[in-house]
Amino acid sequence: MSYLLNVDIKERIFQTQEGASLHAIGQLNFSLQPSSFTVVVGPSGCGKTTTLRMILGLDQGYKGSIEAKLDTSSGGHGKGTTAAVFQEPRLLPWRTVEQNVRLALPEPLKQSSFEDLFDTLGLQEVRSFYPSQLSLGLARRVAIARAFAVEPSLLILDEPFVSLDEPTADRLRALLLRVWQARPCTVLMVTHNVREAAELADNILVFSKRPTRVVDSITVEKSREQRDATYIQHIVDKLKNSVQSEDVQS
Amino acid sequence: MDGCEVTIKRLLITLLSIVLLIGLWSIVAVTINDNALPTPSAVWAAMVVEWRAGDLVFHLSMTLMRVALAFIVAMAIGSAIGIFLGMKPAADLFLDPWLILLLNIPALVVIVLAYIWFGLNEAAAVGAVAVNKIPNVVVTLREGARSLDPEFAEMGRVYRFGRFKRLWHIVLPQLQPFFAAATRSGIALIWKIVLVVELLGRSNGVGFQIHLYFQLFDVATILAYTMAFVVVMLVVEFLILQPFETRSNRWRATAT
Repeated sequence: MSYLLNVDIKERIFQTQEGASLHAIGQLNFSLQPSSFTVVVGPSGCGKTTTLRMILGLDQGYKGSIEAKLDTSSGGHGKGTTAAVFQEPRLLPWRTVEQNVRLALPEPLKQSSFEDLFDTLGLQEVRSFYPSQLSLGLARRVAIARAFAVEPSLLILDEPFVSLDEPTADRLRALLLRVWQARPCTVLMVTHNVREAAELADNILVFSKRPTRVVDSITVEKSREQRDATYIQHIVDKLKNSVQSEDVQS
Repeated sequence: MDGCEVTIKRLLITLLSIVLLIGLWSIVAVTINDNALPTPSAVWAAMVVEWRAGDLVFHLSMTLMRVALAFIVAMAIGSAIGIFLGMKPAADLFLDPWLILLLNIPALVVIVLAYIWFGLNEAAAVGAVAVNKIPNVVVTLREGARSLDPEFAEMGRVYRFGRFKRLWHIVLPQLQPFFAAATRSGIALIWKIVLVVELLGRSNGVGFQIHLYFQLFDVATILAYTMAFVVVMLVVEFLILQPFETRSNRWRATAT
């Protein structure tokens, strides 16, 4: 089967300063299909963020392999690149909204316009603002715009809607889907919100507590437009079951 | 409107404070009535004499040139070493004793040794001043480099920022307050050391003139040179340092 990203991690152990060791990640195997939207759920502190950091190349201290076939797959001009939306927006406070997005662009995209992105995400009015003048919701939108502007093959999102009020988070989820449909790429997103997972994902991976492994992999059959409240509730219940049974086991 | 009023109010307070200082000085000087403490008007008269002769401008510019050169050399070398040490703890551990040694060598010793080893020339003079300042810059910028936010560095790695982009858009903006602190304390310190260097081994500059008028016991002219140079440094502060700082801090404005 062709995949865009194949994760085959044997283990990741952290050494604490007191000399103790923490077995954070165990046998962790999963792969992402091109242009799919995969969401990872699991108990808090279960190594979801660590997994994303390993995929992004920010954490190299693991045993195993992570193989990406970014060049031959989906994505626009930024073929072969990975973009990320971190938990905190991580915008440069000393650069304006527009400069923050423009700085991330790789050389071939330097002249490209991201008017459509700014229109969709409602950022036109704030393009010359500094990040300190934005609300958290707006700053998150800028981070999302920056990620899509590089037209990546793989987009990593680490709880991008955490600590927003529910209506704002809902609006942002809808915006994320709209932007993603306009600029398709492979998405891997982490969340602790199972409803969010049921609404957005093609595939849902349920992670266990430490040491992390995949306990369940659910494919959401219906297309996003066809998912009504009862269907989403059905998926949510299914997810809650796997997460809870995991809680009981350990 | 409000901002304008506040500015005027602050200017008035500053002005009042200066007038009060000069007034106090006048009263004390008149009461003592001794050549060792001339009145403000006597100092002003001495300044006019030196200005007319052309000496004031010449010696001020020589000193200002040495201050500028020593400052540039000290900031360039000091910040390069400081940033390096802040990012490489192993090198920092090894070189820390050297730094403590340099920090504690008196300025006078560095100056005397520089003149003995390299001769009574301009390079030795400027170099000696720079060497006095470099350890302070190193310590300040090392602190700055230690406090760099790894989150921004990671963002730069994910979005494949090149070396220049990383330095210009991620590292230097974070170090800006530390550069500002080093500049502030640097210019004040450097011009004082430059006077000593000029006194010991140069034949021009404010330090040389002060030495000359010290031998003539002419306190009014000594104070005239001191005041003139303080004014020059104030102009540098208001015309160069403050506008630059305002510009690089404009992003700090919070939500309206």
